Amino acid sequence: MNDLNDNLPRPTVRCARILVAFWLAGWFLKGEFFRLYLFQTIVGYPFVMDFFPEFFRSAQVAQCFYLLPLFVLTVFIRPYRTYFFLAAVIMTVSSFVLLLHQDTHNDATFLTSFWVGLWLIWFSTQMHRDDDDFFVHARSLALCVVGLNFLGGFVGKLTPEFWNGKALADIFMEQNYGVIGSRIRAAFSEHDLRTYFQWISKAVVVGEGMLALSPILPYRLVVWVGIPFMAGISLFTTWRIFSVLFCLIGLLIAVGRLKK
Amino acid sequence: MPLVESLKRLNPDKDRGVFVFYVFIAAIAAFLCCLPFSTSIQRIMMSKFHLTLNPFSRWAAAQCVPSMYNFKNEVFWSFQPQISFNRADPMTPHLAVNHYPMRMIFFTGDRRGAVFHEPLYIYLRSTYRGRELVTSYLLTSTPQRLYVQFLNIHERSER
Repeated sequence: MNDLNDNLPRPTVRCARILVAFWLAGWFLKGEFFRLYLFQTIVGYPFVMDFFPEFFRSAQVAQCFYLLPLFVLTVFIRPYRTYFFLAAVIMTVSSFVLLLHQDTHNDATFLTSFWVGLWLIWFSTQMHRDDDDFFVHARSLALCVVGLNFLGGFVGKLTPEFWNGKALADIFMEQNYGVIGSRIRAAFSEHDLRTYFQWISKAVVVGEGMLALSPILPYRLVVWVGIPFMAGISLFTTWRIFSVLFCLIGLLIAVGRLKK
Repeated sequence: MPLVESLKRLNPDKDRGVFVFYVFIAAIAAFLCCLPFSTSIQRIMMSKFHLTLNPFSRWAAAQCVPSMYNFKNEVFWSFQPQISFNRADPMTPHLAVNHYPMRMIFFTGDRRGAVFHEPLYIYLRSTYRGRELVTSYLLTSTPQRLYVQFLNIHERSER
């Protein structure tokens, strides 16, 4: 048996498996939509923009890289470091390709999945370690990945249209947010909703600003406040946003398992 | 503070991967922190959303920069080449979008909603801190495909 794969410390295996599970849950959360979209819609009625190179316009490329992460299930069969490393590479490359593909580039699922995949690539190369330094670095880098993703969201909302609630209110009023969104729109007048969104929007901006500071906040605070905040975002957007957030939530939970 | 604790224990020789990862994250974080103040970076990130950041490799690099729900984004459409961005006008169809406003055309299970009997002018509009970017496209549809052709970019600043 390969020495590199033998006897990986249990905390690191547990951490990696928790992360991969959440990552896959987020990736395939919209599986039904992508089954229709990637295998019927973009094939039957292609959308063509010359901005994208031919490789990133190919329906077969999108299909292949969307399904490729199924191979990472091997990490649950055998806890080999090689398997974890290959899984991380597959997760990261698949995310990166779909982040650049004409038909999927807009979905933030592939952006957060990419960053978590990068973290796992690094983590998988160190999985033989169980020293405190490694655990400290792993947790700090995880918080940096979470912080960076929310920093990006935060700075882009530092504009009057978000602070006064107009941007989020317009999106909520004009987009189809399913059954819950429809019921909320039916239960309240537009004037009342726009008034509420003045405060909801401020809360979102402040909450993202807090999560952007994750690397310098206590880990438990980020977990116990940040994860409910992320879950709360779905109330004002759509449950599908968990496809974006599951990998980040999983990363936060997974690194909490890193202890001797 | 986890980051401070990690940096104290960091040995660049032994923890080279950690060091490289921190440098990468720090560079992108610095880029993002300049967004509210730099018109160049605002233009880059808005152009990313409008699919006009050339060359493609530059757009690909920008795609790795987190930017969820950035800016106020809208998509307008009209059969006429001229349009007023008057949201109160019922004759000016429009939608507010979280990001990548062009996605309202293609990112759907049924693209037939974007099929029209004549070419359609699409206007993507993003605003941020007094800066506005409007990109126009021409959408033509055939029984086999939707084709989007870039037309023009218009940039405006209130400052």
